[in-house]
Amino acid sequence: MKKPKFIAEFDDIPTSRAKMPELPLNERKLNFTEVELGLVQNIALAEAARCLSCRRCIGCGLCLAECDSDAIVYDMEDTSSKASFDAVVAAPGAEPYNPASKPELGYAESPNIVTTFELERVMNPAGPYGGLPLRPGDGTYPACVAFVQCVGSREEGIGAAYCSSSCCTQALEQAAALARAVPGIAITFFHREMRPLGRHGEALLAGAEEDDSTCFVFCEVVGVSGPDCEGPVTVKYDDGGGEKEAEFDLVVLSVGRRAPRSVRRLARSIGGSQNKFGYIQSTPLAPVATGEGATPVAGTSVRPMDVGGAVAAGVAAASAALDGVDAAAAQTAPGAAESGRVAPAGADGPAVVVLCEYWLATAGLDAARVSDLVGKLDGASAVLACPTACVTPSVRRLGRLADERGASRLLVVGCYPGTHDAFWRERGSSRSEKLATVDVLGAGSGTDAASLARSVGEWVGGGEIETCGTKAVPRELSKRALVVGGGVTGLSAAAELARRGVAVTLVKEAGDPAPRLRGAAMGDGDSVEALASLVERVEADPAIEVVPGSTVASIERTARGFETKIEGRSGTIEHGALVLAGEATDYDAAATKGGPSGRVITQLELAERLAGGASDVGNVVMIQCVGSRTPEHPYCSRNCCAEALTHVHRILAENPDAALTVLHRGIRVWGFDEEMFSDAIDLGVRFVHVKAEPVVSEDGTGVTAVDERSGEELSFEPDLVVLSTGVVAAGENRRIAEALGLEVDGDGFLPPADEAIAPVRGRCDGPEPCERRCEGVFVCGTAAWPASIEESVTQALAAAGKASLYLTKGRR
Amino acid sequence: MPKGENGREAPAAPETTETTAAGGNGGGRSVLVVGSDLAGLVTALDLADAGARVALVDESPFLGGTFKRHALLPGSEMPAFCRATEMIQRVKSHPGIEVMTGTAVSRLRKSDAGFDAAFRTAATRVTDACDECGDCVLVCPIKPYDTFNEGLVLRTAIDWPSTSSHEARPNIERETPICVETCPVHIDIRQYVGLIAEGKFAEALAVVREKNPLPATCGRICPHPCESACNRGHQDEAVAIDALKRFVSDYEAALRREGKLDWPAPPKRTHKEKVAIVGAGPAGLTVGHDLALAGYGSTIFEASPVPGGMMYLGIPEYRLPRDIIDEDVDYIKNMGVEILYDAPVGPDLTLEDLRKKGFKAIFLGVGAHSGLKLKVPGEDDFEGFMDAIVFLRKVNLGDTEKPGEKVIVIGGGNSAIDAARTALRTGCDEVHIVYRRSRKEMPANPWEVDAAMEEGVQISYLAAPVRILGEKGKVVGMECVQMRLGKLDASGRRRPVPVDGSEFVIEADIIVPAISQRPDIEFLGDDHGLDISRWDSFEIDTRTGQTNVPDVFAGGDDVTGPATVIEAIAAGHVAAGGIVKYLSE
Repeated sequence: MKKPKFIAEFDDIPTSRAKMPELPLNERKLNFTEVELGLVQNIALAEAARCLSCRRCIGCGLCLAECDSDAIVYDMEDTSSKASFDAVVAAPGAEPYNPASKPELGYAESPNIVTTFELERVMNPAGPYGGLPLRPGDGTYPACVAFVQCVGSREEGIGAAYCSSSCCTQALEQAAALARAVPGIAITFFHREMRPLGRHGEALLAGAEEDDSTCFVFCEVVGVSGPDCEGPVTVKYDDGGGEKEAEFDLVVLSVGRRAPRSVRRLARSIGGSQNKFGYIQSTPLAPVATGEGATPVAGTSVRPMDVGGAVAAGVAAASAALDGVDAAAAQTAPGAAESGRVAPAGADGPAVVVLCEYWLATAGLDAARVSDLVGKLDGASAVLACPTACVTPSVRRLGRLADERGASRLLVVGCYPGTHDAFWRERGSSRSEKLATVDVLGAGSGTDAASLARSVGEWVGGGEIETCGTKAVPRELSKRALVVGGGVTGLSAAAELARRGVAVTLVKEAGDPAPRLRGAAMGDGDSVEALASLVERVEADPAIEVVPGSTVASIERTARGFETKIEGRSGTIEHGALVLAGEATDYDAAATKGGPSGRVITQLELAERLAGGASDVGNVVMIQCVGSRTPEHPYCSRNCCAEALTHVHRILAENPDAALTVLHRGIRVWGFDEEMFSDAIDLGVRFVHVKAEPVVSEDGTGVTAVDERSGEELSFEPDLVVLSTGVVAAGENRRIAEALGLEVDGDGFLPPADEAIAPVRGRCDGPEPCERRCEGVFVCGTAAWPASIEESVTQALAAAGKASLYLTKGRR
Repeated sequence: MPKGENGREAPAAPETTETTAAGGNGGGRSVLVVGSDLAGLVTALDLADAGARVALVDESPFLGGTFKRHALLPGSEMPAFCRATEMIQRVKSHPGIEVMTGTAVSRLRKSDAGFDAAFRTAATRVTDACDECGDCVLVCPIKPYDTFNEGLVLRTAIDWPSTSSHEARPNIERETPICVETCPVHIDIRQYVGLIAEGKFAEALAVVREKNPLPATCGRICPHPCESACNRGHQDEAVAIDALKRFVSDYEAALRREGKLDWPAPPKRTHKEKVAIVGAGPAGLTVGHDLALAGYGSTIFEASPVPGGMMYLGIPEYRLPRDIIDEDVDYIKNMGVEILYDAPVGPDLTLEDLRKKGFKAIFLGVGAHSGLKLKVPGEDDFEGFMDAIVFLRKVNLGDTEKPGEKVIVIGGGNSAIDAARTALRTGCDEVHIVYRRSRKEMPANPWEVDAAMEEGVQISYLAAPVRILGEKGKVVGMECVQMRLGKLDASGRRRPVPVDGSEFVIEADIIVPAISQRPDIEFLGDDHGLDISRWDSFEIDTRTGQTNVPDVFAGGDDVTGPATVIEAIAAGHVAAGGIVKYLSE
């Protein structure tokens, strides 16, 4: 909210604020008389008139006089209503930090300093600039853009000592979009360690790091200023070598998130307590519950999270709000579409074809060429190419065109299932007889311009083509679900499925359900107890058959879902849904560890040791990213930094004089874990950002490393070397996924169908349209990607919710 | 053209109806989903698909929250722009979902069977007859920021994201303005400022009093976050909201002094239970005020001889004259709240004694009056220390003798500035403030810092005390070291480090630490049984102000540590609500 160039101005309203009359300076000594004297009446009246009555109609009546359809009712009043509900779900959205509270960032002063939220509007095809990435100051294309990370995050002084978790990914995504839109654009990230969360964020960061036109500067940003609309914006920063300056055309402030106001207001009513930042408190094993009385909370109420996390939390909360599945009251939405409808052949009548150039460009197609080819087709009564098909001006043009031609058929080229039916049917024509046929060509309708145009031609001619649409799949599915994985993720999924009335078979590999939770690392006593009670609940539930210490021998698709054989269990199991929840396993650090000196251990082993007291732990070097972010395992394992910091604090609590060094490649802790990091710095723990992996001597007595920032070679002689080992994907998931034709990534993780919007649905291997190989398959937790306990359990609950919906309603 | 009412008339009592889709019997479970950003849309769709009847409520006139405004959707194959269109379309056409936009949850209570909710839906002022021609937009003279476009452009009073694909109905909108939103007690600022513009001063003050029982006081010393948020500030300068509040309360006080205005009739006492309030500071006064309105009697036990707590003892008279505090306190006394001065709760009057006297609930609003130590070598060796709180209290209670000739105040908060400016007024020759960080980080109100400098206070920034210098058992000065921002630490921040050889000496015969304050809870004795944090503050349920002892409530500085009057008032409202709930159960 900022920076207008003008506002309706009135001559009789002062532009400057009333000055408070004050006691003269020379009268103030030895005098306690009030300094501020108060406004006099006429000044107060004028000052009050300066109020803009923000966003409020002043009732002047001009629009009333103009409105031909008498649709404006000035005295319409607010209404009150009451209702009772069985359950409530709080599902607020992200609330950005307002950078105007940090004047040194120049946000309120310069139109060319924008927030990431504003840049979204700038880049939005329906935004004020039609999606062109222009500088708000003078409407030119920026040639160099800077992103300032952690604005309003990771700063105790402004009440946000946490990492907002989603801004790095958002900024990287925007940078990539800018690079696509403006060839040759140079992008600089001023950051305090990039922390992309999840698969997509990592890929974006990797891409940006390889790109020569993007550079990353680790620094503190001291100030940003851009005094005039046409000039450059200056960023002042300190990268450790004193203050420096750089000029940019556009500066984007990557603003952090705040606890949503609606949540803060509702917290009292929904029975949740809030943490000091205003977020609702939840526990790792009950991530969408508010504790006693359990009102589910979704989205960003409990902690800042990314889009996929918010969606998973939404689905999990929806499931939690349901008792069992109420089949009798089933209502399926019109247009609740899945791909694969076949347009009825032989339809005739005048037709209109709308091309969405935005969609075509997004789908990687040459919009101009498609438009050209389609324009040449015979038979189409009219072709309308729009920059964006569904925005009001385009829809108006379409309506007029359809009316002129008396069209009864409409083909929208480039839209998504679900949008089309009601929307286009309603808006495709302003006549009373609405369109008879509305079809949408969406994803998978053609990979190049020519084949897409061919499909359009067939449609125009009344031929049969694959379009997006509703296709009911009448199937009698087995009402059982198979959950693979007996870790905290699998257990949570099984318990939730059983609670929703679905029979479950749980194949549980041998071993500890959540080693990290049990160990000193993540586990507070309550979580350990909660886990024990979860295990107990699953084992005692008559609806859950647990097959311990086993694996899936074979799996096949059948008409009723799947038929699966499990090692060591006679007969086959018929099940309608499959939840893949095999936990990732610990990376074997034997190679780094060297001989059995006992001086080099893993964090997991340290946890065991700390359980017996930490007072004897003195001089320790911790090495991060062992088996993570390496060529062999290029991903971040998500939990190791938090785990190391937990141990750091555990040691310092008992032995404040312990000398602790953490050799890292960027400390990555998200959300409220950030406090552990800043506290550790305050307590004098030495953090060194190292180049490449440090080398541990054979006998474990020495560690050498190179400081990335100073280039200095460092050597340490610690009593104990602790390796923060990562995780590797469980092989079981991969075997099953490959047997079913699901996608498995290069690291053995199972990517979900859509990371943002369908974070727990399996993804088919190969291009769309999918052959439904992923139908009925759900992935969650570290089967999909390294995740925290909270994230894993949230996804498990979401997968269970989606699976029970699928089994009863056939909805994916 | 009809007379411009600026929409500031008091809204008529809205009619109450039962919503149709939600609640009632039959069908699946009914679920209320609050918020329609991405998570809310997903939740609603999943619930409805599973057979639940869903009411999807959003305060905004449009569905989709920030998600709908975004272009990109990291991790998705399709952009947020297209995704939002699809999902909102599905939500709107789903027979199991009732969409309630422009609707706030005004009340949500747990019931035996689930939840009872009350909603307030803002009028859109446009009916279904609208054919979306857009003519109204062309003629509207109002130019507010287009929040849908993140304020990048302006729109009109007709809120109509016309180039968006999913909502076409224009909406002539009322919504909570940013100033009201920002105010800790949510005074309807827009309304009272509007009333002042129309010359309706009494009505304006009545609007202030709905939320703020101390208008005269707050009109002077409130840090007014509303003004920092004011949209006019983006254009030229923020509206002087606080000065306007002061103007109307002064206006009323003048009328009352001249005998032209009577006290209003006190509210009716409808309940026999009485509440004891410990401390006559802003939190306690607010609790008394709210309880009186709710029909409960209360007695405030104040340890000092004066009302107002830190407002009287901590804030100097040149910012807040004592008769102004009296104005506010008299108003509250007139409502039937009893105040006993020199009546400390302590060994002679324990909480148990209060219970025995028949008080059914106790509110602890004792503030934070205990100054923290400097922890600098020499602090305990010499005479010449006076904590800012002690110094201000002494002066404010009438002892205006100067503490010394040369004064050093240590700290950067409002207390430090108050102590420095007060010292000047008592006649000290030199007043020096030493603050370890830069001006930017100084928590004091910037206008107070300016005033202090104008009046001759010297301020050393980025300076840290090293040791106290003394002669013959008396303070003669302080050695400081200049700090600078050091190298980047691992989290990318520069922390202050001392500059070698930069030590300097400031002469002084009196040192006034103004570091911070803590609540002083010694008065409770040892066996009070209340949960206390490690900062000596009370642990409460933030929703009700209730402590772990069911009939004891707390709020204000003794819970939060030193904060503002307006925050204490907000805490008082919460606690009063909690007490009423407790007493009626």
